[in-house]
Amino acid sequence: MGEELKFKALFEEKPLINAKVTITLQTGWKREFITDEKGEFTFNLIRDYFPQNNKIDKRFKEEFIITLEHKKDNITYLLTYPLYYYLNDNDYMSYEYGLILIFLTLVISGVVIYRFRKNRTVTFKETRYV
Amino acid sequence: MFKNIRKSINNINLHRFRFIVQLLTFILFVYGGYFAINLGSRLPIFACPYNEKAAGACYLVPLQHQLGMPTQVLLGSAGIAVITGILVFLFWFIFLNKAWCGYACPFGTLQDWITKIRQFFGIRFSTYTQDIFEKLSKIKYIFLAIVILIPLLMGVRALGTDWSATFCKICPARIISPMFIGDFSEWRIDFSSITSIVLTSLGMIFAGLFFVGSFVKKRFFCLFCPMSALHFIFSKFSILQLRKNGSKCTKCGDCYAVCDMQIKDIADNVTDKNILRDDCILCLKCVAACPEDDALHFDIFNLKAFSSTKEGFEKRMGIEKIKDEHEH
Repeated sequence: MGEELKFKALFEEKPLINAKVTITLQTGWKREFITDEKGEFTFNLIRDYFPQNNKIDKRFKEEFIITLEHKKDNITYLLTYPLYYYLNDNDYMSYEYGLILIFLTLVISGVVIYRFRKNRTVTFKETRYV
Repeated sequence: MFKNIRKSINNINLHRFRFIVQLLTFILFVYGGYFAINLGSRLPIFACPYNEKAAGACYLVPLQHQLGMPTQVLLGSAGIAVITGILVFLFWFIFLNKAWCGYACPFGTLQDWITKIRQFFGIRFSTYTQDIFEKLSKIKYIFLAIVILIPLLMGVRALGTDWSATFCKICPARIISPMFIGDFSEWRIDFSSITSIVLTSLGMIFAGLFFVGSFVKKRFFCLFCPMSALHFIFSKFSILQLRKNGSKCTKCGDCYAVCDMQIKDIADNVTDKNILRDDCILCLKCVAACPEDDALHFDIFNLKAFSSTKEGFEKRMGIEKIKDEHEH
C-alpha cells in the first residue's frame, strides 16, 4: 500500500496509446486512467481496509482488479488483471510512542540509579578502638 | 615442546584474546550477511534475524514458530522439524558450551563494550546483593517458559496469532540488533491489537533498561537470558567444561571478584568438580584470575586446555614485572 505501480498496455505487441484503464478496489471504489504515448499508466495503491482500532488483521488481503478496454474495428477488447496487496505497517506502527517510551525508560531508570547511589553514599568515618 | 605450548596458553593475555574473538564474532554475526554467510537459524546465541544482515538466527525464533503450530500438525510431521531443530542447536552448542555467551554472542559482546564505556568515564559498577541475585537469576527460566509455553497455547488455540513469537516482541535484541545496519524500524509500537501494544511496549521498555542496566551492571541482560537457561539444560553434553579442584582452592575470592555474572559458587564451592553454573558465560576470567596451580581448569574432551597457574596469574597481574624491577 502506498507504493506507486507502473503498468504498460500492449496490443499486438505494440504500446496501446490512450486506452481506458479502470482500477476497481474490493469496496467498489473505482478510478479511471488513460495510457500515455508509451502505453503506460501509473497509480498509487490506496488503503481499502478500515478495521476498528486495535483489531487490525495485519495479513488482510486487499484485492483489486485492473480492467483495460480497447476498441478496434467495432470489436471491444477487455483485459482484466486481478491483484492483491497487504497493509503498510506504517498504518498500525508508531515510532512516536516507541521513542517516547524508550526515552522515559532511560530517564526514569537513570534518575532512580543516580538517586539510589547518591543516597547510599556514606561519609567516610574512621574506625576507632578504645 | 608440548610443555611450552601449555605454558604459553596458561600465560595467555585472556583480556586481549577475548576482545579479538568477540570483535570477530560480532562482525560475523551482525554483518555476516554482507559476505553472503548464513549459518542457519539454530544458533545458540542472540544473532537476531530482525537484523537482515545477520549471518544466522537465534534458535529461539524458529523454536517459537515451530511450537506455535496447531497441535495436530506439531504432533505429526512438524514434530520431526522440532526434533531436527533441537539436534542442530545441540550440534552447535556442544562445541562451545556456554562460551557461546562469553565469546560469540553479539548481544553479550555489546554489553561488554558498554561496560568499557562506563570504565572509560570512571563510573563505578553496580552489584546485586546475594539475595537479590538469586531471585533475579530465576527470571531467565520464566522467559524460557514464555518461549515454550505461549506457542504451545497458541497451538491449542487458547491464544491468538497476536502472541506469535512473544519473546521476540519483548526481547531487546529485536530492537537493538538491527540498529547496527542502520535499521530502526523495530523502534515502533505495534497498534494492531491490545496484545501487540503491550508486548511491543514491553520490548521498548526492556531495550531502555538494557542500555541503562548494561552501563551500570556487567552483563546485565545475561542474568535474564532464556538462551542461557536453555544452555544450562544441555551443558553437561558439551565437549567443553569448567572444572574445579576444591583441594587446591584457598577461597581467596579472586575468581568471584572478576566474575561479571557474580557467581559466588565459583569461590565458595570446594566440593563440586563441575563448577559451571546456569549464569556462567564461560568467559574464563575466573581461571585467568586464579593464583593456584590447576585449581580451576577449562577442559576440552576432559583434557586440560587452559588451567589456572601461579605463573599465569603473576604475569597477568603484572607481578612478574614488579619482581624483575626489584631484582635489577
